[in-house]
Amino acid sequence: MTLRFLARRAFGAVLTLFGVSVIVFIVLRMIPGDEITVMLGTEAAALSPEQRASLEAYYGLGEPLLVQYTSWIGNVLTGNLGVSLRSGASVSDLVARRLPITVQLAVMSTVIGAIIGLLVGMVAASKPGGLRDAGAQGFGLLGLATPNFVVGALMIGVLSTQFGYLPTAGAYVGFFENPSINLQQQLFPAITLGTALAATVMRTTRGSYLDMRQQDFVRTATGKGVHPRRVRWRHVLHNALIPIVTITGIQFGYLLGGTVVVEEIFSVPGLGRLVLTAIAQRDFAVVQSTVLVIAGLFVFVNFLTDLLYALIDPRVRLS
Amino acid sequence: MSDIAQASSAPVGAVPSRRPRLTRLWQTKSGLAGTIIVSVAIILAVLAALGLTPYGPTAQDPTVRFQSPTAAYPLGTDQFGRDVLSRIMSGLVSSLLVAVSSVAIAASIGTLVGLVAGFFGEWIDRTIMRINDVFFAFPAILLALAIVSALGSGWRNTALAIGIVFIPLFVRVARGPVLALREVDYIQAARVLGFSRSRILLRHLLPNLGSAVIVQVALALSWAIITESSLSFLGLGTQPPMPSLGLMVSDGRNLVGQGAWLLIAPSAAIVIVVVGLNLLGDGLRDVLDPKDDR
Repeated sequence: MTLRFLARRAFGAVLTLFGVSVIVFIVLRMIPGDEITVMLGTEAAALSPEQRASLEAYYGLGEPLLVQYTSWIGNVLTGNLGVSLRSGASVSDLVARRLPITVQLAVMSTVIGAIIGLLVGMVAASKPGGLRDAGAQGFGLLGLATPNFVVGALMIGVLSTQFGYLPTAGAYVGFFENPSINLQQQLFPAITLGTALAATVMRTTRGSYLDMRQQDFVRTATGKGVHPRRVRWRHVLHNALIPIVTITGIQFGYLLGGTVVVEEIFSVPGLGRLVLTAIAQRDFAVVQSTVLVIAGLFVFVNFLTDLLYALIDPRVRLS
Repeated sequence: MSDIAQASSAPVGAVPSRRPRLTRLWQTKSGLAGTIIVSVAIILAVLAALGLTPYGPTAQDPTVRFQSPTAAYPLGTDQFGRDVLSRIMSGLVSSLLVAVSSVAIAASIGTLVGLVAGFFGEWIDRTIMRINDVFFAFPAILLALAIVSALGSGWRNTALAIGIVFIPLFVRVARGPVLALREVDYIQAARVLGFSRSRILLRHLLPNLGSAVIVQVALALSWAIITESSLSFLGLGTQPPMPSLGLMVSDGRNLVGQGAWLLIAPSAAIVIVVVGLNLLGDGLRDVLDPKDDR
């Protein structure tokens, strides 16, 4: 039963990934003009027809779209993400170097956001309608309404003018080179990204907690004399966790998108910045494969969330 | 399965009270606050679109660079002596323009597709929902970014990109109620009477989606404004010299030492408009969807 569930979900994820790769491929074929002109800019005018033809053959641009797609996806499946049209560097290398940075940022934001959201949500739910609840609701509304880049820009503004600290100064230091400097550099981007997540988690926690508190089994537990603290943690929170875990998992995926903006603001050299630089340089080989990698991560995380969900709530597995 | 319960107990959209809906919207706290904020934003944008800003949004005046907020310049001036209030008003025009056009694209296409998926069911439904899942597998900003980078920047392409990205939201919103309504008596009756499919779809099913779609429109508008301003912030949305709130925040963060208002004013403008749309969405949900009180 469980194995079948796993296989079904895995099959769905693979199918989605296939669709994702098709969309990425199509979107980047919408670029007006041919790749050679895009790549060389004004220099393309100086090419002789023979040079142009040999370049097109080299990059496989004359081939039908289906052939181009299959050769691209075949390479991706064997771990070859292509070559940067600008620098000639291997995209796999570029991604491999930057992926851990983005994943670290996303994980740190999730931890920060989930903890803050859970705590604020429980405080809000402890006395619904009270002053603290109103404050928490206001925080939730503001957190959802403030775009990442606004939080980031304001944070840099406050840090640089009030504390004389510029988070964007200095080269990025990897975690294994110097963990303390690395964590310091990642802290503010992670808080920035975590804010929106905290707001979402807070709202879900509050709603789900209030929902559970009214359930019969909670009344039974209280009635048979279980200690209130144990009721709160073991009976209410444990069951309230199901939607919270789901929303956190889904949000982790969205954080991967948010990293694009936040990495740019805080000069964090992750995947998001790689995409943005590649877009600015019109290096579409890099854009194409990097967007695929990020979307692939997103699908993978959603798949994991599904499994985690089934682990917490056996009903999902059995249905 | 709340959809089915909702559909079988009462026709979707039926409300116990006879008071006009708008009045009831204004009786909810969030509905009233949202209506006021959104109206003010629209009025400011319309004034700006008519050229009725206090100063020209791109008019430079070197004698008044970096003025703090005063009576003459309520939100101060920037590094070129341009009036920040006038620029925010014009920025609202491009934000609202992109948001409204993109949501119009997404809502019309998405609702129709969702309607078709829910009504025909079977493999049509499965195929559409599978494609929908694929679109949901992209972080919105990333897909919008890829589309804009392929099409080129400018407000039309930004609106198109955001519109495409938001289509799946409306597919899902429209499909749910249709699945439930398909089995309801009056739809069955319409079938028995031999009404054409398009008549059932457009005359009998579509009107029932109104409330769900309207609530989603308010929320989608707020996300569209966030996405538009993010793209502009990254330099991929609205292009200068057309003022845009995202670009103003981007400039403001580098000038925060000379004037905090240059960062705070456009940031606040974005947040206030998004909060307003969210409140409006909450209020609409309370009024239009009494069964779904969360």
